Amino acid sequence: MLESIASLTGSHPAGGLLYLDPGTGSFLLQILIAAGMSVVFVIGVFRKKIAAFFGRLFGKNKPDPSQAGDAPDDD
Amino acid sequence: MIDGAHPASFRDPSGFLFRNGQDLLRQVNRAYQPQYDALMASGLYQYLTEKGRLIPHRESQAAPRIPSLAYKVIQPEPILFLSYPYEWCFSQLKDAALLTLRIAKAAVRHGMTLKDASAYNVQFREGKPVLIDTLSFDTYAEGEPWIAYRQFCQHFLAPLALMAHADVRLNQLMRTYIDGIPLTLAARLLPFRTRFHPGLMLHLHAHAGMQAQRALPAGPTSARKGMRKTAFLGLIESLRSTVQGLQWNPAGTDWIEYYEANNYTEQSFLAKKKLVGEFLGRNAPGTVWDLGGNTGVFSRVAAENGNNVICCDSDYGAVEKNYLAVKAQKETRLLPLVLDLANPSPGLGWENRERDSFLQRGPADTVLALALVHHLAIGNNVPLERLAEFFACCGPRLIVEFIPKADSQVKRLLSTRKDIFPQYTREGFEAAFKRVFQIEESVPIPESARILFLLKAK
Repeated sequence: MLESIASLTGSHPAGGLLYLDPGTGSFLLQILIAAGMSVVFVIGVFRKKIAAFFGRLFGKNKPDPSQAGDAPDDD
Repeated sequence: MIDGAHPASFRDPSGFLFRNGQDLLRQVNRAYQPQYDALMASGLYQYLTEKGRLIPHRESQAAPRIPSLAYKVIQPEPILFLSYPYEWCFSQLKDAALLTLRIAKAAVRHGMTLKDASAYNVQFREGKPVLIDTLSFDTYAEGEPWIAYRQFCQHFLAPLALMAHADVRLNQLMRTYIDGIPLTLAARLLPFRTRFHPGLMLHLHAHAGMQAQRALPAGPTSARKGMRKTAFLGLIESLRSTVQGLQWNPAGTDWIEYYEANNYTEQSFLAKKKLVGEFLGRNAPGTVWDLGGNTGVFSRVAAENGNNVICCDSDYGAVEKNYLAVKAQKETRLLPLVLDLANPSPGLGWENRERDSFLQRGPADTVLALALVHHLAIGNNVPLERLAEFFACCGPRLIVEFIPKADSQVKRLLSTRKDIFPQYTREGFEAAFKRVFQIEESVPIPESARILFLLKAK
């Protein structure tokens, strides 16, 4: 698996560096899963749009006064 | 250490905290000037502070502690009581995690990135989590992975997953590992079934498997430039949905049903609440530590009197229930914490000074110790004199309940052990406590054998 990651990233684990950097694996994992994470992002946006559409359709998008002052999850 | 710098503030070259008299100030170093200016100019600071997610600050005219490095000095709004993730219940840690992810997402949308995802950068203010480190942001360059990904997983995801899927008490590993629970350890401790949970498989198990990866060669590589913004935001979303999906049900813990199962009559309970309120009302509002406070019934009496209350209990279920009530009722004066009084939080980290011990964060103005003494004196064999000394360290005023051996709760404690506590009488209690306190008042609680004392430290 690490070999395939190395080939994806253009770096080689056996590149002559003798120390372990615990951050490296986290970086490489992110690169490896980046395409999948883009899909997660797109699905998330899509889902919100669908929910907003049906919310408007059924009139459920009116703000809830009990939530006034609470920060909505808009970021 | 920089003279006067806060002992927990030394890792980040962007700046540091220091004390100036009573004020806690933050020096922003020139090295961080572009990022600080971007934070303020991008609208991110305004957005986050308006939402209550980042601690507001004002720029101060106070002299910097190291002028040769300084760009600005800022004064953040003070936090009344610092608490740490090993003192939080499940939902407190979860809310802190979700706050961190919201901020990370907002930062990217404003052209910045959250470079630190430390749980210690989150504190509870008026019942809600807030980011307290203004210097946690960097400018975002498209293509960069999230530099704080591993830290987030160690500080938040690993303890939350362990609490939800293994045992809620495993968040105590945060005490041992100051930079969060190593992912390799968390992966070993989690049940096998968590490998079939997509979020945990990816961010915890696979992530742990990558920890032995060797360092990247120096200089730009595709690994440093290979993450599009959509992937970055997708990663945050994936973490959010993984954290959001973690649940812990507190049913069945020791103390959560305490008030339903104890031997108070309703009248007795109401009388005790009234008495506690009267005793608290003798002094101006301040800080109250409610020790062994369970789900916070008496903490709320203190909060209603205008006090800011820290309610400590060793039972995760009670603290969870208390925190959920704080959230639901939008209470601002009550902070529930998990704390074992027989072994309270010590000083931790570098020189044992990065995280203060529980007692270092005091003293409180008033201490509540209700239905507590028998647990420590009989359940933990703490001599009454030592108990009195401990309470005196916690604060100068003490409202303490003495429960005699005739009470069913004490009988229960003694039912499975030899009674080696001849001193445990009202007279023995008063003699022990009079060494460090003076008794201002003692009132029997109606329909019980219990006595409520109001004491003042000598």
